[in-house]
Amino acid sequence: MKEKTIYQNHALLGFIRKNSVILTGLLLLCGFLSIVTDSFLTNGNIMSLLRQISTNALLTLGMMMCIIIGGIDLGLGAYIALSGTVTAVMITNYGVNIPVSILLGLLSGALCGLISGVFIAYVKVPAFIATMAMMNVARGAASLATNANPVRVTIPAFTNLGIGRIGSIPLPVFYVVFWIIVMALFLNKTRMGRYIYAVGGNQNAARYSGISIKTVQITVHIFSGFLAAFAGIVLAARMYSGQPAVAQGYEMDAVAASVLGGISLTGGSGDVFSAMIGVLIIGVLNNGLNLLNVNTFWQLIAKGVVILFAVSFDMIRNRN
Amino acid sequence: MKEFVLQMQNIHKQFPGVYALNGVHLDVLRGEVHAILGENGAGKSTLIKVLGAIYKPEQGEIYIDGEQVHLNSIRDAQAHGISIIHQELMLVPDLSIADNIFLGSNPSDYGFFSRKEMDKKAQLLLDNFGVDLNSKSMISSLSVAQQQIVEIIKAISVNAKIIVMDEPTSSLSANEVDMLFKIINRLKQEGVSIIYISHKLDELFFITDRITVMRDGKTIGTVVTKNVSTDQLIRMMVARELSDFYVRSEFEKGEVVLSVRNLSKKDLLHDISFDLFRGEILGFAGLVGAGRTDLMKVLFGLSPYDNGEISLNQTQLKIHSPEEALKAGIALVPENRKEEGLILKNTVGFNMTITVLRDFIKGIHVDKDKENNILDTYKDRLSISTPSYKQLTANLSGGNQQKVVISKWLATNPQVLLLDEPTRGIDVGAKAEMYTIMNELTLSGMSIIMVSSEMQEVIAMSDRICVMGEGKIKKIFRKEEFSQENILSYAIGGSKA
Amino acid sequence: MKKRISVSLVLVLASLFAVLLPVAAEKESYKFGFTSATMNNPFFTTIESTIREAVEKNGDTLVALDPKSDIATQISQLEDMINQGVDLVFLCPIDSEGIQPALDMLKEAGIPVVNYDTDVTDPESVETIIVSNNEYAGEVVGQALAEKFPEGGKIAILDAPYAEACVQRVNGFFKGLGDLKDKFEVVAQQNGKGDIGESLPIAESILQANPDLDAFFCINDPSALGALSAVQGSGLEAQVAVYGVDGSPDAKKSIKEGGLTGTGAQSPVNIAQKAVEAAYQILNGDQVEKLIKVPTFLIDSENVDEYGVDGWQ
Repeated sequence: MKEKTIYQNHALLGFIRKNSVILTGLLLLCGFLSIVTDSFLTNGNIMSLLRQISTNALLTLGMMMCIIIGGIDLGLGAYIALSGTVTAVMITNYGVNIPVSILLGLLSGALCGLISGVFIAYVKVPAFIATMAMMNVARGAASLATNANPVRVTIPAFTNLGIGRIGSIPLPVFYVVFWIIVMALFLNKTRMGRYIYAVGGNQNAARYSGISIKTVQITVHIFSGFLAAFAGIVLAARMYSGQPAVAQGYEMDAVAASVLGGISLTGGSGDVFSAMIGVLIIGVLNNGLNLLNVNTFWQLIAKGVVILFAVSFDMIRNRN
Repeated sequence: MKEFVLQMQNIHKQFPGVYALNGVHLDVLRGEVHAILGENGAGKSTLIKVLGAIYKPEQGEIYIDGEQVHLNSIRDAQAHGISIIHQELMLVPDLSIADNIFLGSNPSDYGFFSRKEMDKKAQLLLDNFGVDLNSKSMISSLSVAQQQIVEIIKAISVNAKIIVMDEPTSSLSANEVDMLFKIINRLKQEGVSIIYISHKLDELFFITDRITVMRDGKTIGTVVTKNVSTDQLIRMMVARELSDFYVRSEFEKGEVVLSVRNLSKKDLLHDISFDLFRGEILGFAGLVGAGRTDLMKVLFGLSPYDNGEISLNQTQLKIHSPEEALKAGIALVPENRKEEGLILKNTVGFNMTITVLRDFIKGIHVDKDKENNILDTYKDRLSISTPSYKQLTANLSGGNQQKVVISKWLATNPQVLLLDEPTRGIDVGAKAEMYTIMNELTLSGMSIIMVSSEMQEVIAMSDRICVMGEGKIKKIFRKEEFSQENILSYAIGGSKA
Repeated sequence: MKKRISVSLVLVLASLFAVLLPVAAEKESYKFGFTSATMNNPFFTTIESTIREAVEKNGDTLVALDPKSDIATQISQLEDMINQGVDLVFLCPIDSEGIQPALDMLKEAGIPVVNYDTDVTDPESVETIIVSNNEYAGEVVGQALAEKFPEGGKIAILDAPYAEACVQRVNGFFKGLGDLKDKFEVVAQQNGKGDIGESLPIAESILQANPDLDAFFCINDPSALGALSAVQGSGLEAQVAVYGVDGSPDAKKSIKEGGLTGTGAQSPVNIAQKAVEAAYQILNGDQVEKLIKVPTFLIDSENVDEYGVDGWQ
């Protein structure tokens, strides 16, 4: 028993040491914001901050898996739009009941992931291209299904999934915590999790080790598509509508968060919790710059600079 | 007395946690071939990178032609006449020989770019060295050896005084090695000094004038090649006596484990038939490209075959993937451990168990005790030396990496272990351990197929030897027929069989 | 090495914010929030700068955030404004109904909303709506076209179906054609994304397919300028009329030079002024009208000089 606590302490220390740079950055950012604004450290702001990052957190969970196997999924933003509109169209236009509509929405994302996964695994289309193509397909499908107009859903049973709270904590925060736990268990405690790291670390060696690369690639893309769809449905509930034009470029925020979280773009390494620090940094940065009333265009520059610096640190660290 | 073209004195270079060079000395005479010899990790490549200005030493002086120089960039090093030919060649495949030779240094004095002139100058250089090549040929159409020669000529064209060759013969055939040695002799006559790095002792005795031996980041000594013996060199390298290098117990023929009949694969393998007995080490000899690796890949399910039968314990197998091969009891330890064997950026423990996760992970339950049990078993059995299972595999020495590779497939408990070049690139001490391990495995009932290009190794370790050439098995030798001449004549000499 | 990295990170972030940090607001003054569809459109930046000028003259501050045409981002940014304690929000929704959750939150926080340009679905959620009626902006163009081609003709439309305001402009346009509606044949309707670069190649292919085209209707001026380039490139400027909506300075210059035929003009300056006026009335506790209309009108070669070509009207 005693041994176990020591081991856990070590794990925590190790985590802090591994992420020292980015954790320092996050803490400084938070410290700075709580000094210069009255509003940053309020309960209300923390809660809305957590809700704001929930979408990017879910996308990043999927994106990091894709990056770990040495790929990427550029379709995630579009899957948000697709799953949201599919669910909304089912509920509003076809009167399908809510659980089934949600299920169909989730399946739409998973299906997109499956298709890009199959092209990546069997036809060897580079992930960048395959998922970029699926991004267009999904976005087009979302627009076709809705005539490019938002589709309203005002049934509280649905919208509460997005705007509801338990105590003062928004529901999406609970979803994210749930999926973080699932993902951490998946990556660390299952065979498939280790296979994912193996495939990303060295695809050839993984093949020689008797791992089916195709299965791994397809599983990862289905899972990440599914998570994006989940995020899309929560977002739709929050906006009372399925929006075909929403979430353009969100996948890039997920790439940024992953990279900030030290997930190497060459694949094979990275962990859930570090990636979530990346999500927090992007979220706090967006929220903080807004609170500080920083000019929009300066915000873009600030975000760009932070990402560039973070990746540079990663590069320097790798070189050493 | 001859003059020193290069002197490196008291060179120190540290990396986090490693004292890579600890006061190294190296003196190279004009026009000599000077070998640097040492186990992996002795500091040879670090020293060369210091010379090429890829690393900056913390301490130490470098003199060229007696004058102290400060090498701040790769360009600096080139300007001082230092040229390094790496194992991976740095030529542009889609340009001609002439283009590559003069890449970055225009041949015309006036800055004009005359292709005709360039081709002519390049041809002159080629002819000078007795190389039968057309300067207009594309690099991509050349063999590795020919490419190497182009690299050498490129180095000479910029007036290199010192040419470093890092394992130049590692992928050359016997004929090509001869050609390389002719060129080296020619360079010597012209006063160019060669620093020659190789593990192959017989080559060093043949081509070098002096040998500097390194160990643990220090210079152990410099000897004149013709005054030294193999034993002396090995002793200098490993600082211990090598009593029983090759360990192979008597082998008694038992039942057939693996049987291959009439196996063919278009353009690569033709009508391959052989048997493997329980507890046997079956050596596969032949030249590079003879089809040995292709055969291993087929047996392991990595590539498909057209015709033929593979059976294990009298049962015919249909293998389409490594997964199925492992399940059937066939494991392949691949030739290239960094590319195919290991996930270098992950931990030792991760690598050792990746093939057997099924044994201790069920759903999301990881049986830690069982996992540690597997790790400990193979760590002890192969005496893998690592500070912990959490160590990154990239940080292990070559020999230990190779043991991790073997443990990985050994853990699947195969009946047939295919070893493709099991001792390539590992040092003498680790080699000896590898032979002991192989011997023990066969004693416990495993059968081994060993593909090796090291003639001594094949002869000493194998119970029988299959010689392959052009995708066929040319001859299977019994132990009493083993001899270097026999094997070579079948490997090179067409179809005597 | 790590320590040095951390230190430099601190320095970088600190200096970044030192540069960007605005002067802290004094307490007695008001803090306004501003959100538009996108700050990539001169129409909205003109509204923003006009409002900013007016409120800063009173010693108040304006917090303007750019949702980049993403409704989810717009909601998040409004949350940030609430947390920041703004006193009033100027709002143009990206989606009239999708904005509802944000309106609910604003209501809960007791923050009044001045809705401008595109109106929200639930007028009860806002204090007042300043509409520069998008539908009417399209309608005046429809009327002008009907007048110019009494016999009808072939027309092409470059729309932007994601944006509500643009859909209204198209609806208004058809309304403006009136009784002649059936005499006009819409030979093409494509998404020009309201962007000059996107619209140019689309217009080119429409002209290839329909060399006998009579007119383009584009849902905004950038799109119209793109179509105009295509028309001029094909040497059809004498035959094909090109209409936009906005009344931007660029469009007016083009009209003056004989390029664009006309534009359904809105007045961002007037919208902004009316919005500021209403905002201070609300904060003073005065009654304001629920619906304040800012007129839209057609600018063509005959009246372009009245409005000047250097800025917005």
